[in-house]
Amino acid sequence: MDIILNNKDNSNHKERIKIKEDTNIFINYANSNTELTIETSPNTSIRVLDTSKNTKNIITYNVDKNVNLIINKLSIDCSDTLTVNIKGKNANVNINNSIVNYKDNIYTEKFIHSKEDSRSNIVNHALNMENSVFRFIVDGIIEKNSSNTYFNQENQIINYKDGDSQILPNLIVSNNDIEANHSAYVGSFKEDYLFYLMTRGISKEESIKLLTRAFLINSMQLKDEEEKIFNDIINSL
Amino acid sequence: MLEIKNLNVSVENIKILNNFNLQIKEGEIHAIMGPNGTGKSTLSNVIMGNSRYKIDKGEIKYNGVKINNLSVDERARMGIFLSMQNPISIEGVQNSDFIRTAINAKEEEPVNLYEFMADMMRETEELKIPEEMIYRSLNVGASGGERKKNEVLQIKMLKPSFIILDELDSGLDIDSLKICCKNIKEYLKDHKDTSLLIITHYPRILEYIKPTFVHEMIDGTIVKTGGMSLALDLEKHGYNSK
Repeated sequence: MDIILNNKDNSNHKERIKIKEDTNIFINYANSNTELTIETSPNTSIRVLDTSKNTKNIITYNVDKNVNLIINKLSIDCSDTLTVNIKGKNANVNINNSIVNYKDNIYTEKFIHSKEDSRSNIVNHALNMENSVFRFIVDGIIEKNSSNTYFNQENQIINYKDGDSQILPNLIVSNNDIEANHSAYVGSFKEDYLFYLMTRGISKEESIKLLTRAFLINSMQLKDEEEKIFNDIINSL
Repeated sequence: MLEIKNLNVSVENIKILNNFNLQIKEGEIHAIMGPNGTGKSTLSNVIMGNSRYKIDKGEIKYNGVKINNLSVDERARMGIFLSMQNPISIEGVQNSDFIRTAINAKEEEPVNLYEFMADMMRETEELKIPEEMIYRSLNVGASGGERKKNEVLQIKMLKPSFIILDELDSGLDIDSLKICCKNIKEYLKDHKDTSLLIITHYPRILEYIKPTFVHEMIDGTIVKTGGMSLALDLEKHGYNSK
């Protein structure tokens, strides 16, 4: 099943969706303050492609047992608040958020593991293009009943100019029988990378484009048509 | 082809190259040998235009054009190629995309994709590089030998006219060194005007690629020039022994 979510007619609305079967969701909000809640059913696979722009959405996923949730997001100027409640055993969550930032934005995420044997892997990448503020605030919360849970968050912000970028990668763990990792990097593209590419005759501008594309979508396992959509966005930057 | 006159270079106010002079003509193979820290890699980086190195005095000319103030990519598009001592890896930049972008940066017309892939396949086979490395991120997960072979692959694909091999032999096993040298020799055979500057500590690589001149470099300048016998002498007696 395919679901397309956008806000052509309404920039501020609430929406609640119940997923009953394997579903692809394409989210494409613009200039919106939407409250979106997605309820899953056990044993379903949900694949989300999010290309929203300039949003302050509040998005919540309630993840049931044996659910496989994959979110690939490439957004421009995003101050969303994302909450993923992992309420079911054997749930598997993979999230790749790539944000291109021009204005002042804070992107907030909360992942709450409340059942055992669940996994989540979160990759947050942002390019801060101007001298703007950008924050990733990422909370990984692993509750007492969540034995044998795996949680990983990897966060990076690349400053193109002198942006004020910050990452708060929090882990709040109430169970000893789990594995949890967090990492954060704020900086610029390595000079060595640019030098190497330029020694092969590639201009600085083109080298940065290659590195930008790699940074934004390399960690995503995209289907061909998804990759094309994301490449179009990157080429338009 | 390459002319370096009275070159003085410093890094963070420490003088590395000191009135360095070198002339390399078309088709010549020069080798520079010297102890660690004498400025050999600085020389290769300065020729390539690495901004970390500051030219205090002197000039570098390539085919009659002063290149002191040209950017790294401009020098590369003129035909200068630096094979790195430690080739870096870049996650997410696919090897074939990278090489194709580099070729397209040099050519007026974009390279035909089919011909490009056919060339890549042929050259990777020649270099005994695993085919999947074409599609992998640049040098990610590659061994030291594969990285050096990838440098030679780029030489064969980008077709430079002046090649600097900065310690090609470091971190390379004997079989891989032979393969790399064999491919470079074939390239030189097909491109007779191409010149080579080999920077090395050991004469072993020079047994495979015979140099026209060998230079001994000490404290940022060339102190002695000779032929292959100088390389063997340096190995036997050490640097600056006479």
